[in-house]
Amino acid sequence: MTRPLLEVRDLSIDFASGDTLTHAVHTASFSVEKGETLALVGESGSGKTVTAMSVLQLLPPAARYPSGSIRLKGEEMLGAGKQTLRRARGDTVGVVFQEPMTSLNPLHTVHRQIAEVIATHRPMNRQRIRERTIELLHLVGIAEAEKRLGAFPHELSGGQRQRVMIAIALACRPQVLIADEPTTALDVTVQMQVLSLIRELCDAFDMGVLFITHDLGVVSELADRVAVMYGGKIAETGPVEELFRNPLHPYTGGLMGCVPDPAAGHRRFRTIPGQAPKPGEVPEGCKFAPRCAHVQPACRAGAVPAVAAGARHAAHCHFPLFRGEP
Amino acid sequence: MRLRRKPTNPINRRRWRNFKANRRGWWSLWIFLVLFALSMGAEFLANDNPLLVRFEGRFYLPVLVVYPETVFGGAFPTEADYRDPYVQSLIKADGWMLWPPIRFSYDTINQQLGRPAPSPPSAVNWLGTDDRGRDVAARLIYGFRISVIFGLVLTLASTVIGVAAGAIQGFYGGRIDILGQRFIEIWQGLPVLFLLIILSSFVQPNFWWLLGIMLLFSWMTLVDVVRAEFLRGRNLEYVRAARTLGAGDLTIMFRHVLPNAMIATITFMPFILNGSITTLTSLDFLGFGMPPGSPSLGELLAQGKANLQAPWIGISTFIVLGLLLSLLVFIGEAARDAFDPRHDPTQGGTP
Repeated sequence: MTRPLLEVRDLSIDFASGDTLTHAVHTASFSVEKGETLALVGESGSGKTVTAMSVLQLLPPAARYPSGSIRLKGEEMLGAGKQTLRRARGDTVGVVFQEPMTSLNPLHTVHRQIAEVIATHRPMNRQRIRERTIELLHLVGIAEAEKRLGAFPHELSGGQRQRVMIAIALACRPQVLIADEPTTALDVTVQMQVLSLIRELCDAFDMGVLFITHDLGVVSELADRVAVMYGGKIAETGPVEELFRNPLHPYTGGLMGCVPDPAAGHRRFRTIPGQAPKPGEVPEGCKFAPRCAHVQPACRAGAVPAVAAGARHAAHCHFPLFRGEP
Repeated sequence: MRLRRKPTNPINRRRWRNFKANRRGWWSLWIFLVLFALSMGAEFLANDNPLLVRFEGRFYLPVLVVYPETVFGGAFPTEADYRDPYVQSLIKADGWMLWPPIRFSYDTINQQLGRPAPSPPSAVNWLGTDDRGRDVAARLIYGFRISVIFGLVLTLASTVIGVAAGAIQGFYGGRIDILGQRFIEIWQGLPVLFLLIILSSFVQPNFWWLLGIMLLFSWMTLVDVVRAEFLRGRNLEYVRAARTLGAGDLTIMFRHVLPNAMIATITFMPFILNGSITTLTSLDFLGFGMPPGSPSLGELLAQGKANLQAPWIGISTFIVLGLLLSLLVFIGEAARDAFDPRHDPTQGGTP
């Protein structure tokens, strides 16, 4: 078996403030293969973004990594030197952020911002950079790319800005793309366009994608595999269809139940009662126990066993919704 | 010329429009530029050498070239003194001289004064002479030039140092920031004027010494502003995005964060320039500034104070200094308007 492009093992992340440590992520493990899209799903504060940013070691200096390893193409990223990290950032890994409004520098033209990445990682002459920039803008579907080169971010629409962000992320043909809720700030129609653009480009370049989202619709549209995060832990991972059909973890089941189904005549949204734990106030035992409909005394203390259903589908739960092959 | 260039991007176009909308600042800029350009050519305005000499069918340029007296048929191989009636009569015998409007340099002593120095304004000395018989108008022109050049160089140097110090503190934060801030607080607590006086009494100060000594204290003006902008700027999304894409610290600092901090910096610059000129003038006034004999506004003010019976010295110097400082403040106000994103020129003038 070949090594996965990105392999995260038992990663824990704490944030230090003064003398107290806040646990943000607990022993998270996942991997992204070439040409595969892994969706990292979870509520706000579940640790999705922290996990993704740790891959490039972009967390603030207060972040501590008590355990785990992050291997990018077999190279350890935890504690890696500046040169290794700079090579990884933008070259091996491209990142698309949530807010296209603020992720582009308002003072520089589109051309300059794309050219900067190319010049950083693939030094070449101005003319070549210009050609490459135009090519990238064509690729992400911006009409009249030559004319748009000199445009400032405020002259573009939200969708166009996100396209430019994607162009920047793809400027050096990265092998891994991290997309941190890239469609959250966009209209629904534009969302679909951007999603299918990401999908096409990933297929075309055979990239591995780590897609962070809280939108299950987006997950079913885009992902090959899903990792559901809750309270800093990965509650369940599995191939998208299997996970949607047979969720193991009650939390995953609850999430599925929240998706409204107009055909079934739901008048109200179904919800999971209670609130997601704040980082630092995560309960002992199973993190989901306080909100779980199937909670038992055993859930509230001690380690939670892993259960598997099939080779690639697993969850951490004492009493999974279903066991083994049906 | 930079001013004529049409600013290309809409933000700069808007700034340029706002700057022009402040008429007082706009005219101040032009008056200042004209005065500065004139003072840069001070040698052609006020000089004890003629601009052009025609002698025995040949042209001479005494402003630019040193000619010995023997060239014009004199006795000595030393530089010709064109104010000497003997030399003048030699040249007039077979040619002519074209003089600058003021026939004195800053250190020319008028030996043909009809009355004891300081002598009042006359057709020869337009603004009178000081107590050593030197032309006040000539000294003002040269003094203006030195003040402005000194101010510009000091402003530029302290801006570069201040921006760099503020940028490093704000960008890296943490321990570097705290150490830098504490150092600046201590450094700012020093009594600046006394230290300048003490330091300049150790050495015989010239232009560069004074510049260095003043730079020791003037770089701090901008640090706080730039540091604050960097503290804010380093957490902006696009700055983090740039880091994610593998940009180095320097690229991020200069390309992504500094442009934001530049607005505060540029707005401050005319006022720093003002402060530099005032400091130089006060040191000169106290006699700790430029070496004796150099033209300077501060030295003229001191003379005006010492010779109250000769008001032409004090009054004309005061007018020049007041004009210079006011022009710079007006330009500074217009620059502030230009860089204020909320400023709307149609809603009244300067607040």
